[in-house]
Parts: sequence; C-alpha cells; structure tokens
Amino acid sequence: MISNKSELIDEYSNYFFISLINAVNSVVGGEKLKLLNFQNKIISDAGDHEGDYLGEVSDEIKSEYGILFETDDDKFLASRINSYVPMCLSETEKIYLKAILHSKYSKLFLSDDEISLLDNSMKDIPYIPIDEYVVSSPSHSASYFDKQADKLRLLLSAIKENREISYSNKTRNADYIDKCGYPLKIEYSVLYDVLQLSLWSSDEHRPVKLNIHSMYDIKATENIWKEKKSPAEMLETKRCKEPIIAEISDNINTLERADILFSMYDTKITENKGKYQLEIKYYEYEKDEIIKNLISFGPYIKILSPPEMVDSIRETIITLFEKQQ
Amino acid sequence: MAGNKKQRQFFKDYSVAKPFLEKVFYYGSYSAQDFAEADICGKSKYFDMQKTLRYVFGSLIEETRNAKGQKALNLHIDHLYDPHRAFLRFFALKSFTSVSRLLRICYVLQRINADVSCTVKELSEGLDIISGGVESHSTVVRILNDMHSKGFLEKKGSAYSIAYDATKLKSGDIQLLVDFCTSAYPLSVCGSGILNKIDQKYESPFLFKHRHLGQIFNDETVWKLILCIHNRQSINITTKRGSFLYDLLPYRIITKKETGRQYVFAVYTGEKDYNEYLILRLDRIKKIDIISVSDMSDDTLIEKYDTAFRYSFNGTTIINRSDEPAVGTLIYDNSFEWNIKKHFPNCEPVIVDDTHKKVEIKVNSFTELKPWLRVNADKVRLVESSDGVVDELHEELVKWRKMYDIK
Repeated sequence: MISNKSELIDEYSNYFFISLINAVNSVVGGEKLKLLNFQNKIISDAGDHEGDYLGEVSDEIKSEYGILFETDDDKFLASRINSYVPMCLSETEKIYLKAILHSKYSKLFLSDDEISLLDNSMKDIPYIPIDEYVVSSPSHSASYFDKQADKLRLLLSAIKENREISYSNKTRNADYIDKCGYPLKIEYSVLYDVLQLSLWSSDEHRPVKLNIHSMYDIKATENIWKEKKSPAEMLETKRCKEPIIAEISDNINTLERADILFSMYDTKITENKGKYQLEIKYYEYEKDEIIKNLISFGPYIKILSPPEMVDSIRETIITLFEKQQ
Repeated sequence: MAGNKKQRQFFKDYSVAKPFLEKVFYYGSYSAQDFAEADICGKSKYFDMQKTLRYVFGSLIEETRNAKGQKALNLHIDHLYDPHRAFLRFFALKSFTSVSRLLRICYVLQRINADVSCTVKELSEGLDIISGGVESHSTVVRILNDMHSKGFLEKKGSAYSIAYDATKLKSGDIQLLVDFCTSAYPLSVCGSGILNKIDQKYESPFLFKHRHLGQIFNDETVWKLILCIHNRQSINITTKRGSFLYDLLPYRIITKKETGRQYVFAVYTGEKDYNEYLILRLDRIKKIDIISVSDMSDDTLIEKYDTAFRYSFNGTTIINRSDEPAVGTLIYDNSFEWNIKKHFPNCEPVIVDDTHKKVEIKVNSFTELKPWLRVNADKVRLVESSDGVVDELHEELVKWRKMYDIK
C-alpha cells in the first residue's frame, strides 16, 4: 500500500530550493562566483527578477553560506565538498514518471530500449496506472500514437532548426498535396486525443493548424526561416485587439461551466447588478473554436460584441432554426 | 525580514491562498473588498497576496479597475507561454521553508552524494565542524527522516543514500515526454515539477494548450483519490456545501472532455439503504477522510461502473440499476454519419430520404447530449425523446432567437 501522506507538491519542489541547488552545482562545476553573484543567480533563476519577493531571503544566504562554501583570496566561492548536489525526486514524482513511461505517449519520444532502461532504474517504484484511474474519452490506443512517432520527431527537429517542411494533408473533405510551411509548435488536443501542428503556411502567409495523423509525405526542405520575427512571434501578431464580450445568464451552473471551459484563454468575468459578463481575449485562429464553445451553451450565454461575431451567431441561429423546423 | 516572514506565514495558510488564486484566475475582477465580503481574506492579506502573486506570475498579473471602479487583480493566460511553471511556483510555495534549513539540506545531499551513503553521525559531525553548532544532530535527524519519508533518500541499516537523481534524466527525449504530459496526462503540475528539476531553463517546443487549465486546482484532490483508488480505500467526503458522504469506495476519476469538469465515481460500501453508487464533481469536494480498506473485488467494481454508465453519452451521467434509460430518435445528414457511428456504434440507421437517416438511441439522459446537439444542430436534431428534452431544446431555441431579436 502506498502511503496516503505522499503529497503532490512538497517543499523540495520549491523554485527557490531548485535554484539554490543549481547555483551550488554551478560553483561545483567550476563557475567563478562571488557571494553577491551567487545570491543574484538564485533570486533571478527562481523567477524573482526584481528581487521584490525573495530579496530578504537572499540576506539569509549571506549569513549562512559558509555551510556550503569557503572563499578564496579573491572572494570567489569554493565548495567545501567536491560533489554535485543531486536533484532528488519525491515518491510522488517517481510514481508519476513511471506512470508516464508506461503511458501510450512514451513511444512518441523514447525508443523501446530507452523505456526499458529507465523502467529498470525505477524497478522499486510502485506502478500506479494513473491514466487508467483518470478516465477520459474519446481516447486513442497506444498503437495510434506509436505510428506518429517518426513524423513527430521530424517536426520537432524542423521546429528546432526553424526549417520549412513540405507535406500533404488528407482531411475528411479534401486532399491537400505538396504544401509548404514552417512548423511552429506541436499541440495536443485533449478534446480529440490527437496531436496537432501549428504551422506558418509559406503559401498562404498565415497560421494553419493540422492534425498530425492526417499529414503524409512530410519532408524537410532546404529553406530556413529568414524573417526578423521568429515563427512563434508571427503567431503572436495574430492576437485579436477586440475581446469577445458575452453575458452569462444568472445561473451559477452556467457560470462555473464557462469558468473551466474557457480557462485556457485570457478571460475576465465581472459581475454587475446580478449579471455576469465574460471577456475573452484570443488569437484569430482560435475564433472558430471559441464560437463553437459559446454555441454549446445555447441561450445561456449571449454574445454582446464584437458586432461581427454577434452577426455570425445570429446567422447561425437563423440557420439552425430553419433546419430544426 | 518581518515582511518576508509574514508572507511565508501567509502561504502556510493554504486554505486562504488557494481560493484567492482561484478567484483571481477565474474572475480577474475581485477587489480587496470583494475578497473580504466573500470571506476569503481581509484587506491587509490582500496586499500580501498581491505581492506573492506578482512573484509567482510576474507580468501575467495585472491590477486593473473592475466594473465598480475598484482595483482588482487579473491573471492573463496566454497559451503561447506555458503558465504551468508559474502554477508550480505557487503550489510549491505552500511549504516555503527557511534558507537556513535549505542550506543544511543541500549540505546533507551533497555529502551523501560524495560519499555514496552516510550515517546521521557522519553528517552531523561534519555539519558541527563547519557551523560550530550544537544542534546539528537533531537537525540532521529531522532532515533525513523527512527526506526518507518523502522518498528522496533510501535507508539501509543506519546509512542513507540518494534514491533517485533527476539529473540523470537530462536527455532531450525524456524531457520532451514529461513536457508533453503536462498537457496530455493527468496531474500536470507534477510533470512541471519534474521538468523544473531536470532543467530549470528548458524551452518547450509545444504550444501550451491545456484546454482546461482550471483543472490544475483539482490536482491535489485527484492525487489523493488516485491513492485511495489504488489502495482500495473507502473514504468519507465533506463537500464545500457542508454535506457529508460516508463509506464511499472511489473507483474512477472522470474527465468530461467537452467542458473540463472532473468527477469521481464511487461505490457505496456501507450498510444503510443509500444509492449503490454516485458521481460527484471534484470541485465540490472540501475534505477526504480515509476510513478503511475495502475488500470489494475488481469484478464487482467493474460491473457497478458499467451498470452506472451503461447508456451514458459522454461518461458523466449515471443511472441506477433499476432505472430505464431515456429513448429517442435522431435525424441526421448523411455527411454526419461518421459522428453518429462514433457515438452510437451499435445502433442501426434507417434511411429517411436521399440526404438524411434516422437512428433510435438510448442514453442515460438526453440532457447530456444538449451541448453536442447545439454545436451540431445543422447536421443532427433530436425529434423525439422520452424525457422531454425535445421540448426543452425547442423552448431554448425560441429563447435564443428572442435573445438576439430574431423575428
């Protein structure tokens, strides 16, 4: 039986602690750091760039750093022990690691030998099939993902090198042959349990999203991205200036459903005179998905702006009404 | 120093910090006054929390004016920038400990790593020499006990050794797997923690799109339930509304992909005349108390689970053993047949005309189908149902038209 005291996150996952270990290891690895550089390195790596939150913690380092270091004549730190500080994993983290190693996603990134090697190194760790206990449907089989491993590796390599690819793509309605574009990011769609690719289309000069399983004949071309902005920065330029504003009916259930459904977007909910207003900021390429999600609420969410989206919803409702008669 | 200590103290009050962040995350319009009125925290704590959230989320946190003209914190989520690590920073602050202790932990780990294994005596004597202290023995014992109980260290006889060093995972491929799983696998915050330990400056090639990021607030509950499911432990649940549910054996956590809501399916193991099983939204759970280990067999649990969801459309609505499912008819465009077959693979379609077919279906409840029917209303419609949902949908459509002034 696994102890129920095992916590999901504990004090040893603390950013400050991880940064401290990394800074100590830098000194052990030969980096020349004086105390002040050491303190600043920790604070900065821990994400407190202005020293606003951890600044005072840094003072505590100053008074006790001697536990780990001596200083030489030039005030550079030298580790008392000539060994790295290991980055330990908690019981929970090891269980999680073992679980994902046994998951259907592992072969997307690791060979059978690598999986077996890692698994052997964790033979004393209990195996909990987390994805069996946390059910989600629809769900594709392991073999579905195994088949995509080669394509994924090629795409990841192209992303790393900012390299263009040529590809063909078969959708339910059409077959797109010999297209070209720069892969930007890989995306996982939880709704369909599929891998998707965000790509900057060389032909259409806009972001395109593709299901990786429907892509074929993928090849890296000789072309490397030459624009000043990186492909990912080009994606950022597609952020819509005017947010969607929608009114949520006075129903706590609808509100809670909207909370989580739109939680991946930049949202704000304000309450005024008993009515809730939802504001969603989004990228152009997310528009259709957001509209679809808003429609799924039916008359419990009313879109107030932008006007073109209100018009689009009106058209949709008119069509639906005609269809439903 | 005092302010800093106060902040750390505040973070230990996790029952305040978590709902505070949830409100900021979901609403972005709560002022200090609103937090006070909602009984989450007083005005002075609001400012402590603001400072902390600025550290945790950096430029993602902004203070703007809400509809009432009051200052309110707003968290900007942008899926081009993975916010998981920021959330990890928040959750990990829960147990912020003193620098003095952390430095001693570093010493202990470094020394064990150097010597392969160490005893309490060796470590405390070493620490005594450096610090000239007298409390090293008890300090070292506390550190070793804690790290051993959490799985960081192994113990053989009186000697401690490192259980697992994450730096050996620093190969690109395992990092990719862990990174990917923060989006695709449950307990995303745990994946972020490992990734951060492997390489704090790792840059992801994935587009962050955890569709239901709000699930991150359920992760601790999910983990507790996973352990109970695995250990086959019965539990009592206290809900946020103050009700108590007794003698439940959790069997599965269910994620509704369309909405992101998470539920636990549990079987009643007590002796009273309660429902045989239930599902409960995870965000409704306040407290879980473990009561005993159940001897219910796998077969029994599977049978109950299958019975509860026997006609469920999306796996989140149950019916009792003695209940009849709702029955209805769908008419759909031929081009939509792939979707019908996906959801109702065992139903036999009947041709209506050249472009349409119809199918008789059974579901636990047609209410489950409503969002799907709305989104696909141009391709499929429900023409009859035994539970009155057809009429409800029609009324909704009329209301919808009225809402947008469609004549």
